[in-house]
Amino acid sequence: MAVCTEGHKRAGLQGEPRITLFETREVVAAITCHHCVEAPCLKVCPIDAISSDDLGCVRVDEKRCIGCKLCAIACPFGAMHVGGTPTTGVAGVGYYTPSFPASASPILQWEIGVYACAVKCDLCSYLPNGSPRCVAFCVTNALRLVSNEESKK
Amino acid sequence: MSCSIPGLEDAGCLFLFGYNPNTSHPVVARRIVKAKEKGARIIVGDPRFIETARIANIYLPLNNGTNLAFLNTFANAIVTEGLHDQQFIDNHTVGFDDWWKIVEQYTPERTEAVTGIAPQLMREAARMYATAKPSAVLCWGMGVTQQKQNVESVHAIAAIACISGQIGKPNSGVAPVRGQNNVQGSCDTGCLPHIFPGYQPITSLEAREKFAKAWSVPVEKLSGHVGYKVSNIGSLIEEGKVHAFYNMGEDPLQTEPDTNKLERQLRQLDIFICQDIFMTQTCLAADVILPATSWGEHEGTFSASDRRFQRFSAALPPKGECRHDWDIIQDLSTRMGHPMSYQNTEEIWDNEMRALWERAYGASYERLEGLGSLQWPVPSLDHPGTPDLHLGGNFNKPDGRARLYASDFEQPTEMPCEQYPLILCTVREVGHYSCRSMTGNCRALSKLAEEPGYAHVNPVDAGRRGIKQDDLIWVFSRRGKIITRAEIDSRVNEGTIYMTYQWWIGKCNELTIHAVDDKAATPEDKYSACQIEVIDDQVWAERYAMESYMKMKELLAGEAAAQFGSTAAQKDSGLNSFGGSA
Repeated sequence: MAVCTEGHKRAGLQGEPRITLFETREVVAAITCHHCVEAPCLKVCPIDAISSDDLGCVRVDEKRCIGCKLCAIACPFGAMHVGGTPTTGVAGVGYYTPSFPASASPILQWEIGVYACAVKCDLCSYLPNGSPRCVAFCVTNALRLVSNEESKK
Repeated sequence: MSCSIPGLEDAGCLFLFGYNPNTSHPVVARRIVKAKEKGARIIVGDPRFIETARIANIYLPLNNGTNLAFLNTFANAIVTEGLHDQQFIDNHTVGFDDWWKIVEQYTPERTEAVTGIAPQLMREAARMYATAKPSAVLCWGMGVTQQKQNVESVHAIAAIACISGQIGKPNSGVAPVRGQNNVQGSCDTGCLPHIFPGYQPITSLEAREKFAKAWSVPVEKLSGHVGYKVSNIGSLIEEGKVHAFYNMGEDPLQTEPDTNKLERQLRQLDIFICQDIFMTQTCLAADVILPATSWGEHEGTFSASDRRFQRFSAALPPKGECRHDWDIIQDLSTRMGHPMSYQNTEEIWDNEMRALWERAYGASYERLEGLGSLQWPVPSLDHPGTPDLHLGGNFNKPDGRARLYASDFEQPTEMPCEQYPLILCTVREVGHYSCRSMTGNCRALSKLAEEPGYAHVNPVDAGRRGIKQDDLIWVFSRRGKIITRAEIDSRVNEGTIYMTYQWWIGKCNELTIHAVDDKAATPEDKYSACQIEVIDDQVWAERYAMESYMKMKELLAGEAAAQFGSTAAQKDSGLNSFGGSA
């Protein structure tokens, strides 16, 4: 999560983790975008800010996104969340004043004066070599990247 | 540790007791997974269903604060099931009969109501541990040491290893893991009130003569009086016994129990000096701050929990007024009339450690170069180091025999009651290190966990109080009241909440009881009575938590800005990093 956040932030994208840990009493699992074929998020986006490339990587154009959250509702895996840039961070003064409880559903949360934007895994395609940093940094080698061919098998 | 950390992989059985490696030592946790892959049996004894409990062969969900009752019962089960190693007991230990007089009382049936462990499960675990081949290791962490009967529990663990013969052979014995990366090192180098470097007691005239000669001072100059322990400092100030406190690299107003009381006590000092790398709340209370360097800016050695010396080097030069810790100490010593003129840490290591402690003599900087490491005892330059202690059952006593000690179980100091029905237990998390001074301002890590921190609450306790996931809640005890966020967690047991101690706003140490044992003076951080309550107006609570956090940041940044001497610098130092996230 830390390398994911830092990598995207350095690339000028939202400084948010795109992978998360899901924990129950019996299981701990890393959850991220499945890069679906015929991705529901891509289909519902009203302004075509979500696209899929030749490798099947589904990406959000963070500059174009209008923050309508339709994609977050459509996603069957909860892999889409809403990030944004608060004015406090841009102007460099004052501090952020929360106007909703953090326990509210992320889809219902909104903030006056904050540019909202859909955030999801892009397989680190902002990098020249395009290899996901979470895979490279995982100390227990629990993550790996599966190609289209492999996934068909 | 009697064995080595890599050696854990080759043990036949690992018994983790009051130790959660996945959050406190992720690298050790990996080795435990590998041990399991190689066929080791895993036993976990912990009130929480910790990550390792998932891969455990036996999980023992004992009640909080019942360690000694549990350990005595475990020992009882080993003996009554005939699993003890009589030959080892006869040849290598002393005091079995007296030990058994106490342990005999603790039958699994009799203690079930106290520990919460079914007799059958207790016996199965005892069998798995005592009969493990080729060896078993009993690992423990702060879950044992930060309790009222910490020393007694460690005695009980050592006795269990001895009576079952699970010590004195490779990859076996007792494995206390340390709470910080260099606790072992600070003990090795004599940062304890009763010893010189290398565990040489200051009460021994022979040791004092040795060190007086090495330091070229008259032997009368070296006190044989055992000093005070840091966790007693507050009451010593109140009693008028301590007037000056020089605090290096610690943030006691974050990490010590009952911080509100401690703050009042520290304010009564005549002089309070803090040596740190960041402006902490403790530094705020200081009269003098000596700015030191961080781990990336200096060189030296660390000793790991398994007595392993490792060397590290500096990546960056010191910034601004900051100086290396050793350089500050050397300068202070010179000004106080004992000149020192070391040029680097290697000279200090050679003259103050290797020359004065024969068990470390072989660990030269050259041998520790790069990724080199050596476990003491390493008495000569061609000695390979010692991964396993007490081989052949030879213990560090004049007669070479281990002492068996047993004590009766006592309840924790502050039991839950009607007004404070929950137990508060302080723990660690993987996202932040210790008191957060090094990790709390790192943006990437703040994405893992952020102020005001979390209290892990069992779904039943949360449901009863109308608390939902991520709700802000009040937590209060006899000593204070703080705001924090609820993490509904089915892995924690009913009746106890678990909080990490690094948060400035959700500071659980405002709530913890200051009770220390008389032997090790370790605070009883794992057991205080408390109560939790949901805050009705969540939006107000969110704002209150955020405002409190920002005020604290401004206060610390403003105080730290004094070093730059201008308001422009003040802005640079922190105010522009206040961006929150939606």
